[in-house]
Amino acid sequence: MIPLDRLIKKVEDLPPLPDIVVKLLHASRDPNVSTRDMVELIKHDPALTIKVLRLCNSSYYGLPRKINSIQEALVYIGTDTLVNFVLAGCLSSFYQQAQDGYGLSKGELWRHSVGCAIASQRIASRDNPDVTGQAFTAGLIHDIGKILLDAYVGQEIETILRLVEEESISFAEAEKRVLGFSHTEAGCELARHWNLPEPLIEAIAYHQMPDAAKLAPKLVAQVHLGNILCISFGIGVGSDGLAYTFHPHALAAIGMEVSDLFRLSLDVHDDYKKAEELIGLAA
Amino acid sequence: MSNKLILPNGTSQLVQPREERAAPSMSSAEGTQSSFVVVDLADMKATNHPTGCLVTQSLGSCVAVAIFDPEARIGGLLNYILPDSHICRERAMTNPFLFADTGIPLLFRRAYKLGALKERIVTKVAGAGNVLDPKENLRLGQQNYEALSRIMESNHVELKGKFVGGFKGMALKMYLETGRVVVELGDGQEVEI
Repeated sequence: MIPLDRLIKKVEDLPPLPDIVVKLLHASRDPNVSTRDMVELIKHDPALTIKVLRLCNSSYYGLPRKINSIQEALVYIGTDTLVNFVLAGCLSSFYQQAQDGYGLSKGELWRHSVGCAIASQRIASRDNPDVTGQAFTAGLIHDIGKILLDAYVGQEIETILRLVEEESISFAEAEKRVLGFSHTEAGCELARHWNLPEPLIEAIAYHQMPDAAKLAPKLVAQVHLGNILCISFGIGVGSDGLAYTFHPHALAAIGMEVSDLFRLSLDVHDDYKKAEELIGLAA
Repeated sequence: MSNKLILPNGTSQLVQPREERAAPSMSSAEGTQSSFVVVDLADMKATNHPTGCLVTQSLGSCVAVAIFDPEARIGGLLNYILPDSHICRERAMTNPFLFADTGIPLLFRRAYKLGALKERIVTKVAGAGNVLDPKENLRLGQQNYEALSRIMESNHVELKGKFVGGFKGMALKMYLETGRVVVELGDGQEVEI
């Protein structure tokens, strides 16, 4: 079992999420913040500006002309996507290490996170094509707790997998029984420490038990299904394999059926192939 | 429940975990890193060049179908993601390797075109894992495998080796010099089928 104070210490020892990311995440949800305010926030960070422009000019977006400034970028890709670029640029450094405890080689957790972000966004777009940015963000960050638990999981992996096999429980449930915390709970602690918006915290905490969501049930359902699709495609799957529970209520929560999910998975596959360049660029 | 591992016809053999295995000799075509060709999701490769190795990445619920004609030394590997093209005919036209019912016939046809003969072809499969699904609503891996079984049965093709189902991540490797097929599990163990 991991004592709570040790987990909190581990949370505090991680480098903080840059201020600008937290500000942008909150600003993007604030109707009183203008596009100009957003540009002001980003343009004073040259390294970030360069990274965002490289992402904008990648073939994934296939924009008709080269984008040279954050202002132009906002016109073409919109606020939500810009915020996601910034977040992706900052998070990729957290995700780049191998998570040996989970059997994930270098970059695999990043691939899984981007895959889940793309899938969650696709699922959200079926509901409302204009409001998909937050689903992407939540997908990108849903497994952040794995960074915290990796070393502990590595020490107990045989016990965890034996529990999964013998009792047919999910990997996260087995983590909780063996370590005292699942990676979703650890991620939730980290998200609070980083002062992320509440819907994102809920998506991290409940993406594996979407029925428990209160504040943002649709968002949580979208990330749950995005994660299930990603795992089903084997994207960034480690020693935890496919040991995650599918909750059919998540489909009902967003008015979908299994056949809709299969049909959408074709779009997710296309989006993911297009995003391979994006995955490399954000690294 | 549906997540129990279906072991291959009693023909599998657990071999050493990958990190304990001796590095392959560079003089052998089997297993040199530079000769690994990845067959992506919803893709297929067939070749009559008997060197190197066709590999998939982690399969999840997807299915890898490996075929090999040992006499002509022609090999092919398909990695499909969904059982049935009926859900989107248009997609099947642009990429038949997305689906079992359009991808599998094309895999065999490509091998025949290269000179393989149906009676000599050895067919092995892996993947079709399932997420935990107590009410059996999703069953994607299971549906993917059932689609394959139906096609194989109606075409009188026998599966010589399989490692399907369960919750473990796995990837498949087929060595083109010998037709040897190895399944690499998420925990690093390798199983020859």
